[in-house]
Amino acid sequence: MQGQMQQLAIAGSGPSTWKALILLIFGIGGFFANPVSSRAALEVATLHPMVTDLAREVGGSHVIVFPLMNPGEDIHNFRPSSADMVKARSADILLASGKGLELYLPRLKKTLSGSTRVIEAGNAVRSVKLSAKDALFACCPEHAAGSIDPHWWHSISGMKRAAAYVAREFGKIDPANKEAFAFNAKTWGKQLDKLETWAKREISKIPRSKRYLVTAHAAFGYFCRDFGFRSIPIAGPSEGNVSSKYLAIAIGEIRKNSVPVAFPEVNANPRALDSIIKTVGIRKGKALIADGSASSASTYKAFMEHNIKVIVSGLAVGS
Amino acid sequence: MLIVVAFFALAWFPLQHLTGKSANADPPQDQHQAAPSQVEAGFTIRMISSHPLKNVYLDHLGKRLLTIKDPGNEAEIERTLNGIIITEQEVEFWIEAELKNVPKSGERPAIQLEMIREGLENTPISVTIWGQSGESRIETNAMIFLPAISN
Repeated sequence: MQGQMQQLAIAGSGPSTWKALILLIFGIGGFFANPVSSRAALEVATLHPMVTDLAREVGGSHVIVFPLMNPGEDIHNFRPSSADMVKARSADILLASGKGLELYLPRLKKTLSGSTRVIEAGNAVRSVKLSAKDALFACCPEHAAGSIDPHWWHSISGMKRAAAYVAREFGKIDPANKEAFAFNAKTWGKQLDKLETWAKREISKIPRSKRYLVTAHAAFGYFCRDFGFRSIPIAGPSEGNVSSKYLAIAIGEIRKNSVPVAFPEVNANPRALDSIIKTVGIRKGKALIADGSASSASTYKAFMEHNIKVIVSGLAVGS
Repeated sequence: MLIVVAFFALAWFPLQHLTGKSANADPPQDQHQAAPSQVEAGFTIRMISSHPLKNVYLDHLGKRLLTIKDPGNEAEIERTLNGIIITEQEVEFWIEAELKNVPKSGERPAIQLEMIREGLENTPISVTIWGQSGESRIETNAMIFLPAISN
């Protein structure tokens, strides 16, 4: 009997038992070492392609991003569908561009449950006001009435500030990953610094007296502020809205400053710009991405690089 | 009657000049004036760096104007440049500089760039460009506003 008991004891302490015991010890230890690491990733629904990229860069592996607007869609005509509303309501965070871009946002907020937090990334960026004249060339009358230019993503330093702001807001909702969000924002910030240095070096090829940006609508206020350009928009949301008086002013500015080129925009009606180009006899440049939404440039870096290269190729000495 | 009309006529033009108004108001002054004329000019450029330099490059409108490699222990670097196109007021350079050593934490490197326009040797203009603490590379643009040569 004693021998049998001994045999049973030996069998009970065999290799598989030890393995199970070791796994159990590590499992319990792992849980106590990081009790919230098992929290599911934050679900972030986004309302603009550039904000989608921001969320991915800052959130990293700690977020799952659901873009409600895809690159290439028209940001001024976008309205969330019923399926979009379902996604928004079930998300932890609804990340908007802000500064009044999403005219539907106040109505959308009312339909959300209390557990969905709305963050407007543009809140971190110092606003550019639309002048009374440029307001006529704004993307839509509602934006002109608000007199704040909503196209803040044209500012690289602004995007860096927005990244730091969004990281702090993510950290409030997911405190366990607060440092990870801050680290990601800082890392991306360094890449944005390099992008800005490159942009400034490229733009230094354009004489300051030639830094005029003739475009379809007044979307480049932040770009002009940061890089020392003057914006000359041509048309508003529809050609009928712009008076001949202001078109004459735009033509006068182009002639007075010997502006050599006008830039059409992706997703914009080129007719008004084409007629100005023909009237004044200037070159037509390649198309700029004004609204941050183009299927060919789904990341922020690709978007800014595209625009800088187009502008420099149109205006630099020798172009 | 004629005396009254003459009086108003004599008063009208000086008053208009003093108030700055005219019958057709010009639009408000803007940062960009009418396209200024461009001239070519020669400059002496002097650089004083807070930290020893490994190399310095100076570009203007995308063209490399100056390359200085391993200037040694020169405290001041002076070079002459000709044929720079400037507007009447300003010239912009792009500067890249690499320091021999990484600055200590909390120390920001600086380079003073002084420009002396040919014919205006008694009115040098300088600008200071700053690097970042902990980085041995400085890359930035520098605007220099120049005094005009009076004829």
